[in-house]
Amino acid sequence: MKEMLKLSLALGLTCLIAGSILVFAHAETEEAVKAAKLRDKEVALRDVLGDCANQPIKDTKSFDDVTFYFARSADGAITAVAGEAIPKEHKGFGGEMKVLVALNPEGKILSVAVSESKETPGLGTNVTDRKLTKSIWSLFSGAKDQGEAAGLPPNVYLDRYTDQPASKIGAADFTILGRAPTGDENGVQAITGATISSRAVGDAVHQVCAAFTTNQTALLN
Amino acid sequence: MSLFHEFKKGLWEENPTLVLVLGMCPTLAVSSSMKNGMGMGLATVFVLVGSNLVVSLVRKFVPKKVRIPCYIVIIATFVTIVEMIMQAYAPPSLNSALGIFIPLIVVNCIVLGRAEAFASKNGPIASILDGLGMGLGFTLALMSLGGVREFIAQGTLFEYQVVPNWPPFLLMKFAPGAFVVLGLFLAGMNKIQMRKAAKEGRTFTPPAMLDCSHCRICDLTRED
Repeated sequence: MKEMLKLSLALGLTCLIAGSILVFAHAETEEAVKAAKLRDKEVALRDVLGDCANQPIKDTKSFDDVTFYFARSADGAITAVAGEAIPKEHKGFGGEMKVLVALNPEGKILSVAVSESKETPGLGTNVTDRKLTKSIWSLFSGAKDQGEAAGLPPNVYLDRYTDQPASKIGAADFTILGRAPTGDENGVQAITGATISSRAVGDAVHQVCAAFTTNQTALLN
Repeated sequence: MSLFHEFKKGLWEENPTLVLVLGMCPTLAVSSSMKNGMGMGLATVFVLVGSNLVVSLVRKFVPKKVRIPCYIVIIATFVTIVEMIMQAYAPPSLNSALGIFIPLIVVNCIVLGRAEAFASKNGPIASILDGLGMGLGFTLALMSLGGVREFIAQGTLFEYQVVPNWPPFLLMKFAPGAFVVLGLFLAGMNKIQMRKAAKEGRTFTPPAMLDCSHCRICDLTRED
């Protein structure tokens, strides 16, 4: 009996001390974590919306669970809109995902980027990460890597959405396919080995486009 | 045992992945590319050193019978703090490279295994060196496995395309490829050790006291 008490006390004390250290550490780092996340969001918005005269992170409106960030020119006119959504029906493989879709005021998708994700490195990240393909010879020759010049780095899957109309992607018959869409089919091809991540991103893009098309007048005024 | 030996043994003779065969789950999952292997390995080094140090410092206060739960609490706390600090202060590139691996380290047998087998019985300096050696050995094993798998799967090393137009061999990227490559590595390691032992005129046996029956993590009621 006495030994059981001693053991419980020792374990309990360890947990208490560990818990207090964690509470302390959390309190100390909470502000910094929030600031870091805000900074990452700003970078993501700048990548996707380009340069603008306002601060998109403060210029927002929400419709149908989608948060829209506005990019304006110097005279206040809207140059582009970025909608951020979390996939609802098809969740990400590793956890919560947030997808940013940049649209021009006419309703055409400019680019898609994934701002937050926890997908498997090397598999799901083929869907979420935009990066340049680097050749080892470029290290030796010092030559420029392909695609370094223009805007966002490429991503095979995310670039499939570029230049598509939001009205099409936001329509109810949009699906993710295992092969290239034929004829009039409303779909986008997934990446082999990353079907769940592809579906999650597709779900989020669909949400943003649907919210954009439904609320287009309210958004752009 | 000199202190340098404590560090050196983790790199080859008692390599946690290829000799002690610890931490197989994260090894198989994360060795799909060299970059992932390095990221996971370095994050593990940090946690190993820290947890070994803390366990070594409190080893005289923790009653033997509840030592495993206590070690787990200590390790989990350490990992959580590392994660918080990284999210708050690390540059975004480091965070995106290593961030996903940190929560996976808690379930890595190597950390608990070394805490129980070494840190609970040795002083802080030796424990730090043991953690460092084991962690670096783990990193090297992961990077070699990752290099082989990444190259066969895509023709890239560290995400740099070494051979252009390499036909993709996706099997290597997933679990089956991991098992096959790991098995071949273990066989190769044993072969090297056997040949070395034969040359020195003795038969090769895996390091004593390191096989499953000596692990004792499953045997919670033993007090010695």
